[in-house]
Amino acid sequence: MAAEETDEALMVRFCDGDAKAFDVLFARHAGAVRGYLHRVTGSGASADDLTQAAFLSVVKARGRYVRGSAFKPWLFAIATNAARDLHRRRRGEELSAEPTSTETVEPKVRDAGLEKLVREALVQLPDAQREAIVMHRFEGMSFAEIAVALGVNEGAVKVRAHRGYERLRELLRGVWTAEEAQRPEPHSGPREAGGNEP
Amino acid sequence: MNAPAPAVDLDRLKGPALDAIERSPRTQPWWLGAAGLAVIVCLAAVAGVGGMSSSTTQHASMLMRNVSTLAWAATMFAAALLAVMPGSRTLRTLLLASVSACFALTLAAASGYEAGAGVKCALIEAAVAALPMFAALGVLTGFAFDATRALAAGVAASAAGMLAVHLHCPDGSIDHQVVFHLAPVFVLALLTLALRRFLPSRTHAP
Repeated sequence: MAAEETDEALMVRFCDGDAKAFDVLFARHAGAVRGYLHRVTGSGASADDLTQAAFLSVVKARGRYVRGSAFKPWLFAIATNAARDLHRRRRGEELSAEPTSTETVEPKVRDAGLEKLVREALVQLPDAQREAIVMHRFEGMSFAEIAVALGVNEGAVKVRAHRGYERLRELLRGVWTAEEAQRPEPHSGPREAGGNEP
Repeated sequence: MNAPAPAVDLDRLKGPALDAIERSPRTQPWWLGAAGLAVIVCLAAVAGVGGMSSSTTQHASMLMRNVSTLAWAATMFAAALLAVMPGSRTLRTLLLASVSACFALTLAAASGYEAGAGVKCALIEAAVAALPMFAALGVLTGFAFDATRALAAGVAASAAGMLAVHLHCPDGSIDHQVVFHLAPVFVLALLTLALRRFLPSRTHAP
């Protein structure tokens, strides 16, 4: 029953005091948020910490959720802010020192070498471009949703994504073809909710 | 490029959030923080204005005095609310732009009368703005860092100080107005921004 409810309806229920609605939201989005943060920070340990912080922020700041507004961009805005805050606090030292993850559990990847190359290439992108690309390509979010999450207009997101894809193509020349880089991904959040390791 | 299934126990990441729900099961509406900040800012302004003598020699006319005072009071109140209101970045940007109108009104209202007032006005302005500024910083640490929020909070606090000297200071010369009345508004807003950037956020929500 609850699974059929929209994120927005669940969030309203949560704001009205139904803690179980939060459980459903967490189950739906925690994987995607962690995957996003892993790709943005390049670190599994940081992604865990930031995912905790992001959902803690959802709880603490639920009074500021604007009823009727889309939940997912709000959640990703929080996740993005958490990552930026970490980046600012550590002045990029940790992020640049951890381009390769130190996961204790190595996921079974389809092509571990390619995954690693892409992960390393993503870490080399400027924050703004990396955030836009990860949300667009890996989380299946529309440019409009990304614009809300990043607090900028849609045009700016498109420019960031375009420049990011161009840079990725340069970094992955010979590995990741231009055609594949530009291949549109289905905007299906649930696919990513279960599988978001970079 | 499809990612594999994660081998991460996500449920263990939920603990702090569940603890927070248990500690405060009721949702606190955003306007409580906004109302609290607006009250503190207004009280500071009232204390600043009421605690000192009033002077009319600073202004060219009573009309200009009242209009400019009203503009600063409205800016102060709106800035306190917008600093905390969810979303509203566009409104905050407009508000920050409208501060230049307050500057212009203040200068237009100046009589040109030189009373030899000096740095004391800037010090009074800073003193009146101090409490609201720190209160605003306390509230803003509950938000992710946002420069427009910090600047709006700084404008709200410094406008309280500005109102105090606007109605107290006898000096209506342009130089004095710019250096010791208006520049401190600018400086205090930037100081609020700098302090906010330095302080850690309690939540990352916008």
